[in-house]
Amino acid sequence: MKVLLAFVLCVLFSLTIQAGQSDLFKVDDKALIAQFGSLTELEHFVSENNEVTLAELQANNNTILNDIAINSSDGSTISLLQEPPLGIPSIIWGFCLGAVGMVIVYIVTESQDELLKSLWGCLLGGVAWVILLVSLSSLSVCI
Amino acid sequence: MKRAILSIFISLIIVFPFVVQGQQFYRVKADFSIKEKNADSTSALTMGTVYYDKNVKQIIYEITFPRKETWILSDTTIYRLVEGKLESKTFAPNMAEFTIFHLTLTGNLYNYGLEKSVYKIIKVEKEEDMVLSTWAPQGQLKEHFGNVIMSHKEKKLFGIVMLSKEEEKVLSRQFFRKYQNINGLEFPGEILQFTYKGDGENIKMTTFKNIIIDDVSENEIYNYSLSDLR
Repeated sequence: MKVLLAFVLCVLFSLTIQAGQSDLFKVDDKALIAQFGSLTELEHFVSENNEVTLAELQANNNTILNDIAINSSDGSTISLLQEPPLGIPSIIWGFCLGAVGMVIVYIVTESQDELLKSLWGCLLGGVAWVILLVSLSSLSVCI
Repeated sequence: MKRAILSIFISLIIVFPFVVQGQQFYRVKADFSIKEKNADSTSALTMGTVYYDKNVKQIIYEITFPRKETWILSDTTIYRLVEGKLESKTFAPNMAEFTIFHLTLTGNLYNYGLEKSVYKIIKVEKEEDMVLSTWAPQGQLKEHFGNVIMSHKEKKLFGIVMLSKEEEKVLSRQFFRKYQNINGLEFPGEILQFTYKGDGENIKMTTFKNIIIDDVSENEIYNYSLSDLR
């Protein structure tokens, strides 16, 4: 009886994990369409009026912007254009590439939080190097 | 008969390198739009055309909205031009090889270049219509970082999910959808990205249209002359 119960629990547990993993890759397209409705409308408008800019739309008080809290801060564009590098967390960039990794993280994310994480990675990387160097030097002394 | 087989064999040897060479894609041009919905309820829309040549490694964005401007990512510098005049020049690490354009043209999009990173594959399983692979950070890094789960559909990269170290929290989800076969190259027509911060969710939808592979009609723009901008 105990064996049977354990077997059932194992099957249920594995099913739960599997269901959880496949759920991670589900996208609610209906919700997505609803969320991006106003932006899609704006996108179509801009496509049809190829020369129009945001400043012109704002100057004309175009109603198409009514439902959109547009973030048009200067220089924000570049953060939109790049994918996160290899999907690797900021702390790894800092750990592996040090200051360069921090610069990468800041350029890509423009986020102070992410920059802080990369700084931690950078510090961890520095500590790891120091430990490695000390170990190597003590090893060479022993030899 | 033997002579005929030998002739075919020799012909194949001669032709094969050209066939293979024909599959070496090097350029991509596409109209793009990036729509963003942020947790703080702000939105952003960026539209334009992007050009990339994997040999030159310059990414050129001809942006039409929200403002008309040109961004050139070349080597370690980002040049921002407005009406052909240099507006700003910023230092940036060379990210060209980590972009969707380079990964796709070099045939490395399948695993998003992860096989060349600190992550190693630890589990593969089939579920529904997807093949799920779990990637774990190696060595001491695994004490600090979580796994990455990647899914493939129809032998194409479909999704990437980043988990926290405890695997209790999803940090981000990224989807590559609506692939378009352009001259034999599968290019995703839509990239969806969900990033989770606290209770909030930022969503970014990038779409590519009018994709042209190995375009030879606009040679100059793929190799943007920067001599006047330096």
